[in-house]
Amino acid sequence: MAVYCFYLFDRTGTCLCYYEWNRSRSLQDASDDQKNMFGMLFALRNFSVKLSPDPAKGVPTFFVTDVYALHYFETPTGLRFVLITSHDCGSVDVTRHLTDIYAEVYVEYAIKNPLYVKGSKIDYELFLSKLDSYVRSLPCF
Amino acid sequence: MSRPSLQTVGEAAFARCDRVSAELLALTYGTFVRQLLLDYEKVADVNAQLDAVGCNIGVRLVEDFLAKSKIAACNSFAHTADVIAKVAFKMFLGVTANVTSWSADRNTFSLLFDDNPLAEFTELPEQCPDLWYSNVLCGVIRGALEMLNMKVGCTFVRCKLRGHDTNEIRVSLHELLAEQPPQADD
Amino acid sequence: MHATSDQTSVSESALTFLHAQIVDYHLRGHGGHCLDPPESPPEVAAHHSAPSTMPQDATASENQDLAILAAKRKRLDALGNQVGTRLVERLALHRSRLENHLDMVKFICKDFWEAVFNKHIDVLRTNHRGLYVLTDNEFRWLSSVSPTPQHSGLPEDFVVFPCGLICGALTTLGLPCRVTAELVPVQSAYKCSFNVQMIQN
Repeated sequence: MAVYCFYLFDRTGTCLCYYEWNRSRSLQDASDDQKNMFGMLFALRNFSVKLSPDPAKGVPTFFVTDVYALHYFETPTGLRFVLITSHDCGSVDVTRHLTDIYAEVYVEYAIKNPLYVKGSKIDYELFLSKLDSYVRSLPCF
Repeated sequence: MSRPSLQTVGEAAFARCDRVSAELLALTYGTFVRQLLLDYEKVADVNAQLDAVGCNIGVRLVEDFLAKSKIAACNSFAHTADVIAKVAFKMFLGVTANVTSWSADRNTFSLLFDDNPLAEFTELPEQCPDLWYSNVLCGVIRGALEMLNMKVGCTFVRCKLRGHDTNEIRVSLHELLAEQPPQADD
Repeated sequence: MHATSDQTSVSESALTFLHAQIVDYHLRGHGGHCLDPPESPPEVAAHHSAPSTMPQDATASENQDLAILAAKRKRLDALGNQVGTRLVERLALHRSRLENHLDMVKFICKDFWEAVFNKHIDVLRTNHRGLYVLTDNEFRWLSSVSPTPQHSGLPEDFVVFPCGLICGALTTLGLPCRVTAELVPVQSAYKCSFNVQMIQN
């Protein structure tokens, strides 16, 4: 099991944070990659909700392929937390960990940081180090 | 097994969070309001500034609220009203409010609350009868709900500091904001 | 970590968010509605607005900027002073009179700090000649701020109000003083020391 990378988007599609632990294919263009990821998530989410018998539900929490798994959590305020892991983490409830990242990393070290301008890229060392140590402490790391 | 009531959720969230004395908040807020009254000539501008400050607080506070209360998206405006009154008020101010006076189209409601930690040991200065002392709360609600895609109007209609029997905030849904798809390049 | 049961309490984050806005109001101009399109803020009473003349050379301009910032910080400090004064009056109400200056400072380090920051001061040092240094190793109001080169100087904005709090509180207890703060980056966070210099009559 391994964790590859993390994305955090806000409701406008801005990538507030991208963090990488282990990504085998090197990124050509980070900004392109982030735009594609957001676009894909937006489409996937809306498609998934359309398929759902209950219109208030149906937001995907993860999908898994033969090489990786994508775990997804979104807040009612439109924040989107994404963790890409190895495919054998597919059955692990990583979404719960994404809600913890929301509460214990994003809210504590971005929202409550009076210097952070909401909607901008989070490049604060304290935030990134808390994110890093949290993810490293996960059983699926 | 029934789901816990919103009241219970609010009380539990309040019990879990780190707290400070209401006095400290009241004194800080009161001193700030007095500063604004010195800075601005018109009381209407003070009310507007308190609303603006509240709005800036609301867009951040909503994330703290959602993360700590673990409340999922509300499926109706009525549910949103109950969550504000029973969970949010309790979690941040330690008091609960009541939701009343729904309009016929169900787009407007009132929040009634007797206890207001912001106004503890406060008297309105005589020369400011038009001041809505706790107007920051209107801004907070407005800012928070906009982050949840609800554009609302939020105003005080009754305030105990003005001699009314209770505090009342009227919240009106103007528009539901639709989520914008990502912009395509070129 | 919670207020005593005979006091009403509110969430600490309500205060944190309010303080951040108060700093913003005083030090970074008057914020407009964050959701409305940008418009000029309401006119401020003339005696509180900053001078607007443009000086000729860069140094004079920098000095003027520093002077403006100092004046803004002074206002914010004065706000803290007022709150500190009134808060300590209520906190010290049921206690016996504090006889000497060291006891007054210790009251700040324990009871006052507990009421405001939910903890005690970690280290108190004094030269026994009117200088006291109160160090908080994990200053709560900066616990989410990390030293970042592009924002250097800005964390200092968030200890101005606390300096005012301490100054107002100590002066009210009987120790007139000047209070400044020193932030020391420790790994990816800050340690905060408050220097209290007694003012001799």
